[in-house]
Amino acid sequence: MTILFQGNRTIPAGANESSVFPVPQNIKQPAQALQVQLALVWDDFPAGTTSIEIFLSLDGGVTFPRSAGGTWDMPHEFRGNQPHFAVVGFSLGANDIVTHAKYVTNAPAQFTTQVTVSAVSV
Amino acid sequence: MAITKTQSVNGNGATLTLNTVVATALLTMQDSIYRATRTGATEPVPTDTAGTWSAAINPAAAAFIGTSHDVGTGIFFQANVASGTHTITPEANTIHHTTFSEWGSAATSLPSDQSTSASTSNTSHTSRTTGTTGALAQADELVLINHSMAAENGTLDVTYTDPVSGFTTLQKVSNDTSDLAMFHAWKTVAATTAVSATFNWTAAEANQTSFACIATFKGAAAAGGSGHGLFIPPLLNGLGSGGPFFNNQIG
Repeated sequence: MTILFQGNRTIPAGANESSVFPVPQNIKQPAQALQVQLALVWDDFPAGTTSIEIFLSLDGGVTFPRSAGGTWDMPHEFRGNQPHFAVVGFSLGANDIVTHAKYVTNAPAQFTTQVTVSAVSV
Repeated sequence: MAITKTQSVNGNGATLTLNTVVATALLTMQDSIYRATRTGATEPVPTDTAGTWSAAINPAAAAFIGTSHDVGTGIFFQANVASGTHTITPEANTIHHTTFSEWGSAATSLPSDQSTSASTSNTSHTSRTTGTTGALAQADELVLINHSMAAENGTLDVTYTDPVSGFTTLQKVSNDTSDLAMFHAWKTVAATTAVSATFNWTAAEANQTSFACIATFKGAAAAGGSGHGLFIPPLLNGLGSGGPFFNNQIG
């Protein structure tokens, strides 16, 4: 796994797009797909539903035609001690060469949390 | 024609969405669940904004910490799907880790073939097999495997053997103390031999429950065949009439 970004981010309310992360070409292995993963600290999410969507580019960051994601609700019953992570990963086929990634959040209120963006060959 | 993976998204939230799904594709949902209460219930099929799902295998959840909690797993599918966006909502459990995948070149009718599952409750263990399926219906199938595991004390890293021999990993969570350890993977096969898989890890303790399952799905028939035995009558002057096999109402 290669970390593309890790640090605290203030996620604003409403729709918000991240910066673009170049994906190093030596991560993906032949005959394997590349997966881009996001992990945020779920305990920091505001009340309501927060969506996170990952966008992938195959043309050097010109367009981002492929996307997938999910939603996370608060409050939520967790198991065990903090931290608890909201995680989402998106991968294409084994022959798809992902060059760049970005993510879009849509939160009911502003919050600050640690964000980790990583890529791994699967 | 071998089934191929087009895309997959995994996550632990309330819903998952795949965009730009291709018409006639096979969609699968692999789920690993933990319930903070004991119901012993099977996991129901997810809902979808653009179609209806079926269960390939969804066994009754196994007991964890005596009979206080549930650990479970399931594999679900939707064949011959509509194109575009699909947003699925799995059962809202305390924890679920879901893998939502799109596959090309799968059978568009009745793709689900073999499945089985097995569990170990409240016992120290470091491996769990899925059990062995029956012989496959055809020598061109997709095999999906799941593992779910929780421990009363647990560890941040159960140290799974990754990959499971012969399989490609889709999603893995190694924390069985404040999360649910889980493992989802896939492979394709070109033989009708019965299939099974074994998950291995190193962390073990007395109150430890794990559940594994396996399900197979048929590939599309080769070009020129229907893949499911539909009789295609010869053309009779383009009218298709003249006897029981040439009734226009068939199909």
